[in-house]
Amino acid sequence: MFQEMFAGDERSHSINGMIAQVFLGLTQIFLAVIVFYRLYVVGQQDSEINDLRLLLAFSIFGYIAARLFFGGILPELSWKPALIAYASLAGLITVVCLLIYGWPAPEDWAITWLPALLGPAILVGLYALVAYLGKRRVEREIGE
Amino acid sequence: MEEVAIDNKLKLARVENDLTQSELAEQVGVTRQTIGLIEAGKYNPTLKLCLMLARATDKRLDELFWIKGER
Repeated sequence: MFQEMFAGDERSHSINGMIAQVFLGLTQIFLAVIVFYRLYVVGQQDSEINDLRLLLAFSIFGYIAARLFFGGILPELSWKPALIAYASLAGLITVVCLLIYGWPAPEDWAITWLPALLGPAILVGLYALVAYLGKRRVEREIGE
Repeated sequence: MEEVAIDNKLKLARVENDLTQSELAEQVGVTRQTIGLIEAGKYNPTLKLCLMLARATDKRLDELFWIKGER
């Protein structure tokens, strides 16, 4: 009985997937709203919302990585789009941070320029790696 | 990709075989509701389930399911 209740058939699997996707999306949006509210309305310090930001990043990037790896759905990145994506991300982060915090002191490079320039490189690199591994996984399955 | 609707005569095939929705559902390992929704044209089953339904009702796949408007 319990197996029937929880295993379900193909239709319930499909409905479960759809519901999980919708509520994952809503949860991520609500988390982002809470982060912005606590940062800019309540005026909390960055360090006070690190747990929520970590959870949000884990949820979003974990979802993208899982889709890339298990579905081979998202496109692989070649060099040119990867460089464009990196330049856009790093540029956007730099401009927004300069507008909010102003020009950083030279001795603060490790907590200002380094994360702004290295963070997008890690993101784009991980995306390219997982997309490549996901595609290779699907190609191997097709070849079997 | 063009949206296509699938038509079927599962209900007729089931009645011909003197099966209830629950009996057919049990044979192919799905819920009665899934059979009801397939018969009503409100759920498109996977190819695996289509083949199992064809076997359970002793029909060919193309006798049981077809693209709407092509018959």
